[in-house]
Amino acid sequence: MNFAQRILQWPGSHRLRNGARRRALALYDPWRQFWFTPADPTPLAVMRILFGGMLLYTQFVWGLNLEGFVGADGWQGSTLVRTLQSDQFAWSFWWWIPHGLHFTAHLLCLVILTLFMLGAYTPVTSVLAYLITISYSSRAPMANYGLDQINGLAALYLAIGPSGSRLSIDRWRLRYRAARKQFSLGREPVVMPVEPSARANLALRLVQVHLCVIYVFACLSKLQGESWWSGTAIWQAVSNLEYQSRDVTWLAWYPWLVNLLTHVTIAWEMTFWALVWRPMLRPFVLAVGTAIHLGIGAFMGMWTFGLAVIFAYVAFIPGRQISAILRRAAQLTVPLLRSLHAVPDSSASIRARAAWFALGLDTGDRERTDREPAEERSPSPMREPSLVPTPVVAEVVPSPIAEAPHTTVAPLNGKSRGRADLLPTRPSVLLIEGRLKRQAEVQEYFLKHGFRCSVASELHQARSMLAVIDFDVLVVTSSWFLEHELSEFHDALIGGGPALPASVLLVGSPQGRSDAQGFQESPRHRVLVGSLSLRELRLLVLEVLGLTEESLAPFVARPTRSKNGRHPAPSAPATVEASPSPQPATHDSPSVSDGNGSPS
Amino acid sequence: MSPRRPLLSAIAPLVPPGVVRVVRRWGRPVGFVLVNVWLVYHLVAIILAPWSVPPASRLVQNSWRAVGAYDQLLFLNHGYHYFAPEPGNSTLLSYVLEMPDGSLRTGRIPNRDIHPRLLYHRHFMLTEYLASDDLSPALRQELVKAMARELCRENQAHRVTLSRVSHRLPTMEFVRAGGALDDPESYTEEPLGTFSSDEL
Repeated sequence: MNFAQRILQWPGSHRLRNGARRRALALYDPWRQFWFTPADPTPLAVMRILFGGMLLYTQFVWGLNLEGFVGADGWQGSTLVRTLQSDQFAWSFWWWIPHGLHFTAHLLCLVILTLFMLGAYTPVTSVLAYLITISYSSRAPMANYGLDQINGLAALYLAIGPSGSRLSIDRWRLRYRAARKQFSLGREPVVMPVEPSARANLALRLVQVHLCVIYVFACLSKLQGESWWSGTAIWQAVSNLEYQSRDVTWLAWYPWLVNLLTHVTIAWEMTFWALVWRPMLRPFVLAVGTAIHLGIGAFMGMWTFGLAVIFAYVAFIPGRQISAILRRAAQLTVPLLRSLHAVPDSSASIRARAAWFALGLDTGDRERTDREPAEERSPSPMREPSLVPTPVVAEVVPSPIAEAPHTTVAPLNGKSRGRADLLPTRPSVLLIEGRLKRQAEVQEYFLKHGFRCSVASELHQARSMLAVIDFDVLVVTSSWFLEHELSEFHDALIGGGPALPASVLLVGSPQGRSDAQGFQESPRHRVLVGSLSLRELRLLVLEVLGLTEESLAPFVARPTRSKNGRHPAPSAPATVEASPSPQPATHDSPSVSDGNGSPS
Repeated sequence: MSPRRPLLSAIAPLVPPGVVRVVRRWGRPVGFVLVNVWLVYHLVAIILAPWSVPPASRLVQNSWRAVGAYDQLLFLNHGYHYFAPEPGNSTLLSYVLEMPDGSLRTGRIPNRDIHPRLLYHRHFMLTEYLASDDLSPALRQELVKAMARELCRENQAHRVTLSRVSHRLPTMEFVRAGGALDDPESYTEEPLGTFSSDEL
């Protein structure tokens, strides 16, 4: 037995490993929450429209002297640029486009950018918009400035995030198709929310962090210059005749004001990265930044650069605030359109009504967009047709800015129909369990006993799945989740009424949670502390569903055989336990560890 | 099959159960680890790009080599030195064109006749590049030639004489004393040469 094996077999090593794992998770969790907590994609959608317009305009302006900027014999001849970039990895598709096709390619780029701005085929056009943006900039590197840098990073992050998931033609088409189908079936269309998305959060975070990096280095580089210390830099910037678009030479009579503006600029850039994360200070920090960049536009003629940076600030605005503004705008617009008889009434054609519905103005996207009912996506012969849904749980959209403690309460969007009329059939279980091995064991057990069983490792993943797939019951066996998250999730389930699945929660964790206090209970929503055998768990699930074992008999798998076909295959471990501490062996099979790696 | 269903569920019936188990066991964690590794690398890349702009330590400049290709490929290799280390003099290009009919036409780039403003700034950045430290003398000469060629092409001129113009920034005292921003004394011209369209 080697040293490593001895260490592993040492009784204390298991506890040490678990402790290390817990510490690693504690370290990783803030990182995960910051980057991967699902967030409302609305800010990204707004940024797509704003930056789409900016990219379109920027590329359009290149085209005003296309041969001058991308032609082989233009301001930056191909020999010159190729020599300049000979040791670089910068690339541009303009190198491969024959001279005669330059204008055609340019027009095609403008069309793609227009589609991107409008949100058509966004998964494709967002990537193309990014490639177009960097291609123009890399082909004409000597004519670049700050605008191209901001455009480039924005286009990259808009391609990473789901920027077309709202306020887009893609969204409209999705709603239109669903609404048209529902209208043709004589039903009112369903408005279902857009789920918060981890990709949206990742993209928004990248914009935010990149802006912080920009300001840090913009400040550090300024501090190498004397004028930023002596307080005269702002004068030098605004008295530059080639930049100046408005005469501000009157500042020469107010040197103290020049000093103040210079110092404020430096102080703001120096502290942006720290203060912008403070919710109380964020509006102030962004307001100062907006004022500075509007000033750059108004007095130095760089409106495009100033606006591009301001557009990037949208990443710091919580989606719920943007949604509120959009709702307000819709509320103001709809009466106007009604007065102009531009709103189709119930006698209008299905297409017209669906097109109007798809605009989302009536609902103001309050419940944040829709999707086709699940049964249209995954028809199930076991299910009744969809009925008009009951309202979903009140929406709480996570802010893209992480607050401490950060809480993500995504709306639980179930297929809103009474579940009692769906049973008895083969019930579907959504198992929420972070441990992969445990997932497999419990899932296999449920499948073997006549259930359909899907698994989710995280609560937010479960939320996403609930919005898409019908489940009859949720089973949470993992205790990895924070108590308040689990409690909110559970409350939202109960608050959703019969529209949402029943649930069974096994609670108990090393954070001191030892009872079910704080968890509401109802006949459809059971909360248990400690461990259960898989059989007990299954019976409990049947109980909350109002079913019996006999009702699932037709679906129960026949006993599996071993390879030689003589002996039954060994059954799965028979208990699940959510308590972190080992429970007395009250069951007829060994207990298993909980989600935090407690001893078996 | 819903397009939002997990990929594994979609392909599960098509692949052996063992493979499904392995994918289920490792697929998600591996993907998540890869995303995290990329994220860390990306953050390092966007920080090292401006940090490695001279003056920078050898450590940072050498570290940049690990991310330089990525930065350049994704157009992230920027210094963000806006008006830094301090706002400097402007550099312009002055030209005298000899037209086919023998007439002379003079001008300066950028000029306020260039619209829209963004196009004006594009031209301004071009002429600013004439004073850039990034260019070797040979490349600077190549840039000058390219500018001469483009001016001849745009204006159908036979010859062009170019000068680099440096416009000094006025001080507050100068303006308070009645000086104008376009005071002729604040401009300094440096001849760049005469170029024939046939030679370019």
